[in-house]
Amino acid sequence: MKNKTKTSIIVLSVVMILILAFVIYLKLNQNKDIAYIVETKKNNFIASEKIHTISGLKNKSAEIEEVRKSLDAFYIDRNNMLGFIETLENIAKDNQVDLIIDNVGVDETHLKDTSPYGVLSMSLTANTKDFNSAVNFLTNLEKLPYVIDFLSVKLLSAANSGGDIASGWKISVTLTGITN
Amino acid sequence: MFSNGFLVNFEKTAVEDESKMLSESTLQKDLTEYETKLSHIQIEYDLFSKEIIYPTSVISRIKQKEIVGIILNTVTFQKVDDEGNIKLEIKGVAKNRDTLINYSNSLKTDILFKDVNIPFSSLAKNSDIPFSLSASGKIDKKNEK
Repeated sequence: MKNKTKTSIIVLSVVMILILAFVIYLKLNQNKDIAYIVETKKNNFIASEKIHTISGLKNKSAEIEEVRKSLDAFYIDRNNMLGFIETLENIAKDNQVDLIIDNVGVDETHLKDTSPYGVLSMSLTANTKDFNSAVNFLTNLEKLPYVIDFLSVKLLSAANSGGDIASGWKISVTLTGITN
Repeated sequence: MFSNGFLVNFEKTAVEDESKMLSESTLQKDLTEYETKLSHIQIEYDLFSKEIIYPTSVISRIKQKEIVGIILNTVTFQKVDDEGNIKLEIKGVAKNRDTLINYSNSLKTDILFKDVNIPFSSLAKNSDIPFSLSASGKIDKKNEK
């Protein structure tokens, strides 16, 4: 009888220990899951905040794009370079200027990855009948509705040209413009 | 304990679903697209913020400084940088040395021609002096168009 009681106590103790171990195992797993849930919730919160911010930026970006579109008017259309050259020729004609376009080129090396814009480089020479038509020609170039950057300008009077020009003034201009 | 376990599992599945949904969103694509647009705007800003030099403005300022006895026959200027700095060369004929020196001083009163330099060779003759002046300066916006 005494032995039977002893055995029962041992068996009960073992069962109790097993139950306790199982409970501890469950609790540990639960804690791990809770930590995982907390971490995932935190990441989800950050991600949803990012989405919210980007959504706001997208709206802002659309607004900026609307304003930005108005800048397109200041770019020279690289698909209509002839149109630009004809515009210059018309300015020359209006000011009774003999225009020679010495050099024209578009640098598009930086278009590939980062920018949709190119740079037009142009050198031109204009022979004018007098100083006023030289200034008028330059004024009209400045008034072109494009972003024109004048890199160098030379005005040379016939008096100092050593016979290079018969009369009036010779203008040499190097300029750049932005193409899109 | 067991009901807690069930709730934890339920919560775990819910956050995983939410996480999957968020990661499948167009977040990265939108971000890349926005960054590209932003870089283009930056490039445009740089292109438009360059200091533009208007030739007629420079010519007009040279003409304003002209004095009696000076005849100009060559004016050259070139842009040095995007900050508005330019280099100039003015050639002509001066009636005499005093006229040339007065003209040089007259130019110096404009910030655009702050470093006017007359080569000594231009002072060799006393009358009908062919001269070549070099100068450098900066376009100041208030005097620009």
